[in-house]
Amino acid sequence: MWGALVMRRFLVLLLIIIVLAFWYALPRNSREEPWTIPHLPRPVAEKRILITSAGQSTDGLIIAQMIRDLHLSYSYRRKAYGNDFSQWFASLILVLGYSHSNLQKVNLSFTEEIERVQSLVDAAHRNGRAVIVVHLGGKNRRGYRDDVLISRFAPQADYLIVVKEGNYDNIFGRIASQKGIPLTICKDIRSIKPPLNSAYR
Amino acid sequence: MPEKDRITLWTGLLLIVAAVITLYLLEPVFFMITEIVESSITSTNSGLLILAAGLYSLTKTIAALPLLLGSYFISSGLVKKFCVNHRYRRAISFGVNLAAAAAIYFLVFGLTRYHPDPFIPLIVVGFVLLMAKPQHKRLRLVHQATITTQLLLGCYWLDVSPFLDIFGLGKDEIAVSIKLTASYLQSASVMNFISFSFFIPLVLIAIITSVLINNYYKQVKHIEAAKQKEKELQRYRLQSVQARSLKEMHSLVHDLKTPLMTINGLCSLLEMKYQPDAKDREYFWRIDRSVENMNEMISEILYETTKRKIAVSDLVNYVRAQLIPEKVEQEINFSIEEDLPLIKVNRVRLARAIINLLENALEATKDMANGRIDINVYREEGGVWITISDNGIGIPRENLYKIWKTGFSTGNTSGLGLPFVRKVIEDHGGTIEVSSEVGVGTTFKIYLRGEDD
Repeated sequence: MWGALVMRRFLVLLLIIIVLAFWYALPRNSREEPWTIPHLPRPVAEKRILITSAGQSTDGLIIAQMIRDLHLSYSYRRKAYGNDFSQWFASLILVLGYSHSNLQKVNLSFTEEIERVQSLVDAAHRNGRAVIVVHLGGKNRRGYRDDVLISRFAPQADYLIVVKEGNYDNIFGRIASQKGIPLTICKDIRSIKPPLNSAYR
Repeated sequence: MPEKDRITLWTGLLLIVAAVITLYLLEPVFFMITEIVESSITSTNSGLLILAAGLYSLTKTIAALPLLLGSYFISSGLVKKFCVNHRYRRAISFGVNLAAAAAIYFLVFGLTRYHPDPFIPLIVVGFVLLMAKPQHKRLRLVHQATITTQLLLGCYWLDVSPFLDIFGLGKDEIAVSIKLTASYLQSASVMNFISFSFFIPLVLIAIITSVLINNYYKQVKHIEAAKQKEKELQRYRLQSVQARSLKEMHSLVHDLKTPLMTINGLCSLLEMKYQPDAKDREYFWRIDRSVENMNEMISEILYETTKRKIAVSDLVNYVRAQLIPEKVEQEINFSIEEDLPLIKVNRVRLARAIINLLENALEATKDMANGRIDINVYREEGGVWITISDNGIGIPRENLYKIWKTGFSTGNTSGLGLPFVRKVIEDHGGTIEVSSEVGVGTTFKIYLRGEDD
């Protein structure tokens, strides 16, 4: 009898979760921004590429792997500073994504991380080099600190590549239209490769 | 607050402290998992990613288990304190448990700067639904931990399912990394399959375990109830046998009166017939007194209300004559004040009551090297005080008021002795008090009215 009661309660709970989940997942009204393009019509950046993760998430490594697959010359550095952006690098790819444990691992605070990335962006702009900002994450890469990184570095990009789920509130669309930055919204991670390639070839 | 609830609260607090320490101790493990995820990216090996997901689920469970249990213990302790016997106690306890457990959970995770998972309250709901049942009051920590571990392990596997990402599940940075890497390695569907393959059986096992444990405790409860009934039945049987024996003994004692009357009558007849000298008359008088004494004693045995005035020393001597200590190691001291008032008592019954107390004192000191029993008799407040003290094992404070209840016994006795003592003293218009300390000893103080005035 008790087992049946628990089962009934569990099923009710499951039903509530399912209903809430569907409500949460219902498609919201969104409109395509005019700045959205499938890929760049002409390259904006040159090789060799310095890739770093703004926020120290593992997403930077995924982009580095994609760049390797595209046979583009690159260097992936977790703790690269403005001074490191020397004559050897012709473009910068910033991959946005906050990771508390990885920041601890490289012994940096969040503020120091922002300063580090800012110094890189400044160095790239000083040398007239292109900055490509990539955001891989879905909804869950949009925490408070992720959004701080987005609002700080996305407006400084020469080209924005984001995955659709991470742009659920059109934050990248707004930044792109305000700053006149070309924006590519990809349906998933694997679709990032073509726009990434279009920035170099 | 009762001792049991205080223990629950302290256990909860200790678990929370353990949880915070665990969170910091597990940091290197989280680094290791991140490294495995990175290795899976560089080597495009989805097997490594599954390993990372398994380690993630296990580590998060280890981190969350003491926190969740501690939160639940604290909240249930508070519920017990504030909602005792309330009409909607179950509903209130459910709500408070849920709110308090979730609040403590989020607070600790917030303070330790770990990303709280939004679906944890759902785990808590499940947990509380399964656990906060009245039948589960006796669930031990290990059983609660077992069920919670199963639930947590199952739920944390959902964190790494890319399918549930759109519902906002799995906000933890490592979980997000695993899901993104799975998408990059085109293993999202494999990861979905594996996470559900772990989640569904683990949660089902948690429910089944919970039901099995509940049934086990129900059975234990039934067995205990049956044992208790059997014990009571035995007690009633014993009482019935004792009552029958008492009745038979009464008849027997009553029958003693007939030969006594014969002795008394014939003795008077002989005295008249033989014209005895002074010495013989003395003998006849003593036979007559003895018969009369025996007759009075029989009356005292037969009729509880039969009382006569006696000296306290007579009573004590009668007790001493009756008492044959089984163990000679104990030191028994009698101290009787001079010039005590007479007391009007049923000597046989009162002596039986005092012997009962002395037997208890002997039992309490039987295994002691320096066992000592003191019997003091003194005049005070116009009456007589009889104190019986021992330096034995003592009676726990919580049992002091139970000793007067019929059937209460800590040993293999019938539990009838002390209620009998109290009844006898009260029948004599007296009082009896007890004071005791575990490991120090016990003192019984009897007050009886004096008959001088």
